[in-house]
Amino acid sequence: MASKRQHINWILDELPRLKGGGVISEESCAALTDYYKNELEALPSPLRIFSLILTVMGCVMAAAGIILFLNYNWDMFSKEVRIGIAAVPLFAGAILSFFTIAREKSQLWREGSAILTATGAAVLIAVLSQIYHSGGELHEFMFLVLLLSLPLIYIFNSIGLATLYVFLSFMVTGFQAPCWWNLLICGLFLPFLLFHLREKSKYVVWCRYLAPVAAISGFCGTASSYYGPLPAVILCGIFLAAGTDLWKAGTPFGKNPWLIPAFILNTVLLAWGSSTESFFRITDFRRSYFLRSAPPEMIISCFWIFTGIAAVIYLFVFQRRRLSVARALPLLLILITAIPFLTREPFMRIVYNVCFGLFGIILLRNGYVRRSLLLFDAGAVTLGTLIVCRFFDTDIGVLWRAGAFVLLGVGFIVANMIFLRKNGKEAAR
Amino acid sequence: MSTRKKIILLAAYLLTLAAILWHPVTTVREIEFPAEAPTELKFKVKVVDPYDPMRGRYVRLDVQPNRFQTSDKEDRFRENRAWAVLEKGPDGFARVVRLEPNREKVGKTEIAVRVNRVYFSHHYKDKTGSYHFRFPFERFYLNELKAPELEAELRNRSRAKQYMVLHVNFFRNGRFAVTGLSRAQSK
Repeated sequence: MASKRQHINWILDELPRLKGGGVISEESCAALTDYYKNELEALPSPLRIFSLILTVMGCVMAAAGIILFLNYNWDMFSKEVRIGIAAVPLFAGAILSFFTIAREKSQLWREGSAILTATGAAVLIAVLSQIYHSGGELHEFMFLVLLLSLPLIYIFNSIGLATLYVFLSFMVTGFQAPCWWNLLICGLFLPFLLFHLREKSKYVVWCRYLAPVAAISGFCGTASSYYGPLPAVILCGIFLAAGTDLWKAGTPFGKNPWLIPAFILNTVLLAWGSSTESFFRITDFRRSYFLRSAPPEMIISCFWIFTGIAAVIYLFVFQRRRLSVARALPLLLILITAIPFLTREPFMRIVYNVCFGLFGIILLRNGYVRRSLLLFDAGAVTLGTLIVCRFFDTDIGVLWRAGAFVLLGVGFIVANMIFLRKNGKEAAR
Repeated sequence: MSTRKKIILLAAYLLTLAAILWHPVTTVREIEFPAEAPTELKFKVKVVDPYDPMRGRYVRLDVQPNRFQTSDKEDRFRENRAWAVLEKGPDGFARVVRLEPNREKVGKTEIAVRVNRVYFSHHYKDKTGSYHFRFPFERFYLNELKAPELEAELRNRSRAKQYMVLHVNFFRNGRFAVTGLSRAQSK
């Protein structure tokens, strides 16, 4: 947003000069000035964003304070008094919410209403848990509270409660939690996230940071015990493709938190899959402790539903741009990672090695053709990692390995120097 | 914002508020004003202590019996959950009569509670097995200042192989409410 503000300010400074130079008429100058001044006013000001952040932080701290206050367990009071006191934040939240909706109050009020109502619900349920010593484990309590808070995110369009929701969803994971709970919690949040990931949304950058956290939470600990590395490979592919799109659109790295982490994770997954068969063994449900007890037809149907949804989302990302080899490669990786679910073929490791090499070569080639140092270096890192991995698990003498590593290092430096020099010459020409 | 949108938002908020209030109101109504009087059962307990970030200090209880001898050859409960049918034993404490996979297999007059983390262990010598499980009332919430005192007492009793007694009220719909922890001794 800051860059758009700068651009508008620049054009507003330029307009009198253009008018003075006779490039535009006085009417055009007045019309353009009015138009850009309106545009400038419509942009969220840094002061307003800062005040929103402070309000959200204040609400979160006040909510944490209320929860801690009731954590003390005031068992010197009667049940009725404790329930009455515990209901106060919820009813305060309800009054505030009615006022906010009826009077059409600003986003600050909406954030406060959503967070206070959700805190009120959590506090009331927690106090009942204390009184009757029921309510189960923490993940059961959090599952109930998060499900009840979810509509408030949509009603108040509350980014503050949404952020809390995503971070607290990690509390629903755990050894005892049913595997689909976290997936459901994050799945129900998906429409809000997708809506705000549009360029027009004022929360687009914040939601770009929130999306990987929600994705990790959705698949963390639960799906991984069922599907092994498959969710990680799928998420990595989606974020890599989406991050590349943003990068090509000229989005700075500060506003594109998807590209670099997804690339690093992709390299780690490729290195892991190409080095050890244990990577695929986790995916094999017949060997999993958790899955031995589950009916096979349920696992298979879950797997196909899961893969199907992921593939649809993935293709949706692809559909917007032209399909290329580099874009199809992560999709190929998803499909070949899914194969061990049905077969136990040992050649999977070899396929991963081929994919790893192919990915590196394509990146190097694209970097060279497009004169992009980032792509060129990404290709070099990918190929370098592949070579390093293979050197560690092949039976070659230490001296040969040492020599090869030195050669590899020198090769990288020389390739980079040649690339930079060539780029410089072309730029001068 | 149009009036129509405002009404939709208010209606959505009212529905959410009703959903939020449904849980506490049902809990209080079913426990404080039950249609039928609950049955109280006693359980022998030992202690472990932790802290819940949302609900404060509590002592985690090792509720007995947490094992059920069976003639089953393999695990019948696939989702690690089951319904334990309970009754009052000759020693005055609760005992498990049988385990059922769902609520429908429990008689209407029987007392049952849903148990978690059910796993099966096979006894190779006598070709039998047993189910291990955890009761859902393992947490006893306490005031922050009183917790260390009770924890120390419970530990001393556990070391001396003396139990404390947990009193639980069971309602016909499977709901329960812990009513207290007493110092009666038993070996």
